Amino acid sequence: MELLVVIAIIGVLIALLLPAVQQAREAARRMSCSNNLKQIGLGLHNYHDTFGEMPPCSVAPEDGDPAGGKHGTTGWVFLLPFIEQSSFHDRISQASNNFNLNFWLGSGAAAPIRNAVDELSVESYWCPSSPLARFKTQNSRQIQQIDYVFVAGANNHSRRDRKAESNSHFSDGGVFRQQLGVSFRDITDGTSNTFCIGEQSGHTRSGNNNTFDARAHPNSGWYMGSKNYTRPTGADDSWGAGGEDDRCYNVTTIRQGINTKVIGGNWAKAPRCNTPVQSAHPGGSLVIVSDASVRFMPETTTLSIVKSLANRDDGNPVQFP
Amino acid sequence: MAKYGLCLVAVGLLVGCSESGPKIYPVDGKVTIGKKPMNGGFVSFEDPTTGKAAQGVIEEDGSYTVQLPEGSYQVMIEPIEIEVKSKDGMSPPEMKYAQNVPERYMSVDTTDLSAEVGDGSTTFDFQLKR
Repeated sequence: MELLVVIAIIGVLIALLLPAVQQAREAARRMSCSNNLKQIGLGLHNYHDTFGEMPPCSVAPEDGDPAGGKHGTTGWVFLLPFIEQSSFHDRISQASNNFNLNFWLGSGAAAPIRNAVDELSVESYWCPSSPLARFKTQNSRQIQQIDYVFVAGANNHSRRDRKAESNSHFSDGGVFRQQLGVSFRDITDGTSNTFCIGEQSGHTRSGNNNTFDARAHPNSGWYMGSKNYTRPTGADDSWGAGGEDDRCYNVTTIRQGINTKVIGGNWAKAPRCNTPVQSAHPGGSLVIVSDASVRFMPETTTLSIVKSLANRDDGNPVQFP
Repeated sequence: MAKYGLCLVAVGLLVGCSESGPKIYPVDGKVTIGKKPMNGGFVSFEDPTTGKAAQGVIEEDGSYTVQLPEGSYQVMIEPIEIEVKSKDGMSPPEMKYAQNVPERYMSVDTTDLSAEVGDGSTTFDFQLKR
């Protein structure tokens, strides 16, 4: 009889313990994820110390350029030398003829880049909590897919285009701009009141309730940026007005709240411009603040505050919750 | 003594997790374009102030279902998309609309469709005019 009681009590204790162990594992993964973002944040500051500005989210050659009409590369590539990955940067630079090739890795011309990055990965561009695919196969090469995204601001900024691809909204009011680097003096809301990189490390759900990978780089991992060399002016259809490709790669404009798990519309499906900032961590998402600190932004944060925090110069220097 | 043990087990089982949060309403309805039901596509609900949004899939008979919390929403209707290879092979395949739906229904700024979701208000039919 006593034995039964002892077994029952042990059973209860184990039942209490098991969830705690799982939570400890997730806490450790979140810490590791936070450390990755910290390294990226410090890398951004070192980049700023060297060039006097942050890297642009993506660069695209102008139509007149020898490389015109092609997809350019992203800030993730320019950041490599500042996170101890100089050899990776040189490898891409050489393979792409000093960034002059098309970075759409599905194109025939991109074969040298495709071969150079096959199966390679930057560990700190991944969040350990993420259940999403680590690589994508492109022309039988393995291309790394990452869990972080540049933030171009929010869709309520005065310089934004609300008629980008599929009526998605693209902003020019964040820390990461198309073609241009932003320096700290341009972040007039204060570097501590503006976040610049967020997570995309969890599943979302599509309209028919299937799990959905809504990361902002569906085609060519973190290597490929936009094809468009213009920026939104504040008028609609100003971004890509000349019938240009106005899809967003590796960059998002805040339209829904943090950690939203439901696709709101086609505008939230990559490569449209409003892919959600969301994570696999319960309750919120980690973000890099422009002062290189890393914060956990709870999903209960009011949308207007999230937007103010995403815009660098909207005159609303709100504090992080 | 055994009774105590069983009680402990029972309490351990009862003190589990309970899910709480805002009430979610199952919303349904039918989308027609001109006089015919819309054959496939997406219906998107968005509240621009709170960012609450969800997308439903339109079936072949024009009906849709979507789960939404209480609130007032702008509604957008988009047709099915098909993947089209880019002409010059310089960029990834693009998505093109398979059906002709007036442009004004696709943008949150121009749509004149809306829905107030709440108790007793969960069915919304949308008639699109060409």
